Amino acid sequence: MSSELDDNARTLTVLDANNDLEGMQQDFNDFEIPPTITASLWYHRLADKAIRGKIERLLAEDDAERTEEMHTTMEARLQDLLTLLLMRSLIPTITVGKYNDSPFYITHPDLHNRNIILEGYQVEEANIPGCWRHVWTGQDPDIQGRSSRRLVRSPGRDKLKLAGIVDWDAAHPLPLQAAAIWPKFLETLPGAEFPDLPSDYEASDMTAEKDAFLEILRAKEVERTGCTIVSDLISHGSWERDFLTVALRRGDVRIKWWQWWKGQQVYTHNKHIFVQHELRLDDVHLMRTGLCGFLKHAENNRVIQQCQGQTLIWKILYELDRLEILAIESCWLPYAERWLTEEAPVSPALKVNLKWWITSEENRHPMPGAWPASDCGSEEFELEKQVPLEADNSIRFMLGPEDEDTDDELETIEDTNSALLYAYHLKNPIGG
Amino acid sequence: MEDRLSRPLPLLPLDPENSETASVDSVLSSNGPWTTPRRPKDETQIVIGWQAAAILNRIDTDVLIHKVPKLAGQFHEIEHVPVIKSYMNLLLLLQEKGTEKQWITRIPYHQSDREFLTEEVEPLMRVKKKFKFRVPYLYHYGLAKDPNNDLGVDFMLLDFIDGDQMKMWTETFPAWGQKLQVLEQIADVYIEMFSKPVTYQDRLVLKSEFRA
Repeated sequence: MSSELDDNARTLTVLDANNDLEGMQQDFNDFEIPPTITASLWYHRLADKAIRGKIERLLAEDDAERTEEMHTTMEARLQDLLTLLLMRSLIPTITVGKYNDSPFYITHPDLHNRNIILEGYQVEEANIPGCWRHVWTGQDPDIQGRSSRRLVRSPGRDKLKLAGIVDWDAAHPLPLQAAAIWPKFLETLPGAEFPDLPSDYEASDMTAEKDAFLEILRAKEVERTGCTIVSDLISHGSWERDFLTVALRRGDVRIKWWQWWKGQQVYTHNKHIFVQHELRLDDVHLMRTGLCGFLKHAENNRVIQQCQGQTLIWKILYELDRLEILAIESCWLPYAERWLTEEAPVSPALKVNLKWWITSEENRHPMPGAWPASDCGSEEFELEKQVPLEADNSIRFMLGPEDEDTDDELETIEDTNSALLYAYHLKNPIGG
Repeated sequence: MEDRLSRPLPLLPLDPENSETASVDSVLSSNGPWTTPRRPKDETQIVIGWQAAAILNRIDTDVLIHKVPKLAGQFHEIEHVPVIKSYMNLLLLLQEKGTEKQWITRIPYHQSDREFLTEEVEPLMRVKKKFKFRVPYLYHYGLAKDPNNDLGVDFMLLDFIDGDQMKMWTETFPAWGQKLQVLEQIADVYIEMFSKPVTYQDRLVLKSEFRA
């Protein structure tokens, strides 16, 4: 077969000829594999990437880059950002701690019908000759009038045979629990259905097919490995994990996820952003980053120019409350209140050209760790004590004045304490 | 050729009335190797058709027919280039004269070198030799900005997996026995995928691919 050709016989594009391409090559190679990261950290980083991307677009000075955001209302943008923050805070509730340190796998996360190529069969009455069988028709012939259609085996074939799997665009390394999901032809996600389904198409829940698939897979797993890890993960919570993963990547699915989450009975009594024991230093600043970023964007675009200073902050509080996702959790509450009500951390941020970036350097952050229990509910909010000055916990902030003439005064603050104190300093300058 | 390359690729959504790009049908009916299976039927297809037309207008057919096939490792004389429009990509099927060998030249409608590398090329490189079941083999890829890429657009040269896309399942279609046949083989695919965790060696191999 041609795929068995020696790689050395191929001529690959020479990338080094162009510096830009070389830069891309560097990005290209920058992916992580175990044991560098765990499943929990992978989910968190996926969320962080989505949140950063959101903030970046909100802050983008180039109108072209901001076009996508400008088509949505301020309310929608705020809700989307908060949804991302909410999703991030829910990660500990959907991940399976038992398999947090499991290997990563390259799987096909979009295994729907069109990506499964079968050999030698055809659908009755579907007379699509030869190479045109893959043509995008917009109408699936077996959906309409399906009751009369049957697969017809080609002559000489005893069974349907898998020819191959195509469309590997999304085949990136995934932690075990993110990779162990239903094939999409058995279960789809809200908002991620096929775009060309007829309006009268009635999806089947595929319960019998899913049961059969699990039974077959479980038997094969036992035969091969003696355990049923993958099939167990698929049958327990895989839909929720997959939904969250896809929603973190796709805005259209995120809207559906928000609607689904709002309707979950389990959360109706407590629609808060859950910040559980895995709260890290990152969570603290990510939350504030999101709010600051949005405030900055809103002010820049005069969306809420009538709201200034404290009013602006209360506007956000109002939005949080109205959306019923006010961030409250026992040990987190003092911090949340502090950020949202203290003028110092937020208001000065609006007065400078602020970009709060959490560094994405490899191994920058350790595993998500528990917030020190002794700090919970502390009446005394002392920044110096709350944020340990450890190298691994350092977060890089870029702060600079809004005036372009003083861009050269940009400074890098290597740790969180310094960044926060810098914000305080802006509000209450020494001798001011 | 310069005229083709100088034409900017339109972005979605296209407005056919205001676009200077020829329709896909007019491109396909002009002199060239193109053939077409059928006319677009709905609005979505028309938009995709205009995207496809933009690509077809831009690429050099001589390069496509005479140079690209060589990238698959041996000389191939191409007879026809059927055009297949998928949702995100234009697929040009290279059919070898006198044989049934086929290759796919896959060209994304949205031309972005960076996204093309990370979202299209990299995943295929990851799975190229990884699994026992068949996946499209990536022979070559080219970037639009690469001066060595004579085709002038982002593209991948893949082998063509001949067969039929599995049709949408319903409660009654296909027959239960046929469903079980498919599920059995998909379970084998799962077993294969989950038997090969990503290793540090994979990373080294991937890096070596891009340094080749």
